[in-house]
Amino acid sequence: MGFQRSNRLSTPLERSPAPQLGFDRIPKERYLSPEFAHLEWEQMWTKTWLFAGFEKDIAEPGDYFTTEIGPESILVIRQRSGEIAARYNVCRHRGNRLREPGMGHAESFACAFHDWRYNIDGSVKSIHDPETFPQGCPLEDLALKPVRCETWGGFVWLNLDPEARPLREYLGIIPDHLDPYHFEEMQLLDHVTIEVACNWKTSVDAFNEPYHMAGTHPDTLVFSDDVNVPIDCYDHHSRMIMPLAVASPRHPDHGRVNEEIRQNFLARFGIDASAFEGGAADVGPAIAKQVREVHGPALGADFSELTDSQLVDDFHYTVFPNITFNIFGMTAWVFRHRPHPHDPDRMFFDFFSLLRSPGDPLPRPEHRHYELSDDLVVELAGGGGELLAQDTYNLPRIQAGMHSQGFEGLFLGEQEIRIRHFHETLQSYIEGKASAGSG
Amino acid sequence: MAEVEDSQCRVETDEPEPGAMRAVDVDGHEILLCNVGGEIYALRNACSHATTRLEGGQLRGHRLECPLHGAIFDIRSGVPLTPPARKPLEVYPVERVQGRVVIRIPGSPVRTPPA
Repeated sequence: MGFQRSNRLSTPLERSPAPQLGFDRIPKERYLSPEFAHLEWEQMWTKTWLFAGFEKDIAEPGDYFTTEIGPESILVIRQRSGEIAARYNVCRHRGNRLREPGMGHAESFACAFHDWRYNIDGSVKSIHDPETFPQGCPLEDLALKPVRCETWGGFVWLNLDPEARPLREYLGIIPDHLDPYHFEEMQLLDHVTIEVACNWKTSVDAFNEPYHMAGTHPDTLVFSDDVNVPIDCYDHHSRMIMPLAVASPRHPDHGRVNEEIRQNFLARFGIDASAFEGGAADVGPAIAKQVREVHGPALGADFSELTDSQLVDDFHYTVFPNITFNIFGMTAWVFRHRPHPHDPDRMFFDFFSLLRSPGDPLPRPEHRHYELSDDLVVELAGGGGELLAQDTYNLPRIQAGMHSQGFEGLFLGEQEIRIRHFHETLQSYIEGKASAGSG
Repeated sequence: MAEVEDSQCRVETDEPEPGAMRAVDVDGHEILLCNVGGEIYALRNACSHATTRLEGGQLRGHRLECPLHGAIFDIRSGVPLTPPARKPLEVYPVERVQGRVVIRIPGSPVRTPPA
């Protein structure tokens, strides 16, 4: 191999102590009530670091994207210095939005209401008829209001709290665990947003445990182990590791290299499946070797910092409050669960498909938008559309069911401990206790 | 060179590089030529929202963003994809003839573009 890093990274794999979080039901009102949604906004969304987008999307000075979170829209702009700055997407004159949701390039931002103009650093460029403001136009008070903005892993993060602690501190264990994957070398394969009739937490929960695999994704048990899934809860965030390329102990093929594993794993990674004579325990190492020795050089990527398991299995991280990582080594899926501006029964599900490909730049995929319907199966570059449809099919039904008098709240088992941990973290924000803690 | 053909103006000019745009002004006809993957598109070079010239905007694939307020147009049809623009941009038929781009502007007088 032609790659060697001087400071090799490795993801900690030791288990964290199991949290003692009790057995109470999670009150359903947390998913349904406008009052709780308001508390979430005031106490949590405006105080946590939020994933906003990708550094690569704003490579040149003046490139920008907007990010919409609850009632807010934020402009994230590459500065002439090369730094990234974030400003509220709001004209300081009468409150008009400056740019529609999306991404683009601007030499300045002009308000389409009264033609006030702002430089890309947020300072005022010009005010239409300034002499008609007898109170004066103090430029420093009229600049676009700044938002805290920091980066990690090629991702841009925002915090609406000017006093927030630094991003790295908030992320806690996450950089140590995920830096070996080199997300800064990943490129977008697909970008989709689906509006769903459920609370944003209904969506976070749906992916935050392995317990749903047998019920929601029974067709995957032929190639995934939903039983031997280590779960770790950290201060704010959590992890589970789901073994892939091996049949579930619930499946009759457990211990066998079945045809699904041959085709969907060995052959997909370019291994001659018909000639493979190894046993079930040999599949993962063969795939990992193929990724390191064949795909890595072809992509210009060094996968030597990742274990065999990290190159095959789903390393699943939840970054509080609303990011889900499914990381497969060479590829990853990132989900962002965004609250609706005013309706706790609705949310926006963002899907980002990533490939670690530091070589040639891939064309930026078009951002596609959908409203969820029962027959929606989004074709995704890099796959996963059918799997995602199985999850999203449940979401509005869970939300509708939670409104029923016949349901009191979430009755959780130990496979669902991450959901309980997530609510514990959320509660610490609701009660104003979380801001001094570390991730 | 320009020729009359069925009362249309035939404007001949050089084409922009792939991925680039070129503004052409022919006696008041402000035209924007865009080259996307070797295909040439010609549009009226004035945003349908605030009449801003568009060559300072960003071309991503077939999407052209107005530099002033950020409205995005599909250059194949001229259709606005995002507000604040609501009306389509005028688009003109284009063809290549002997290495030159020929733009047809319906109902226009005959003019020759500047060299």
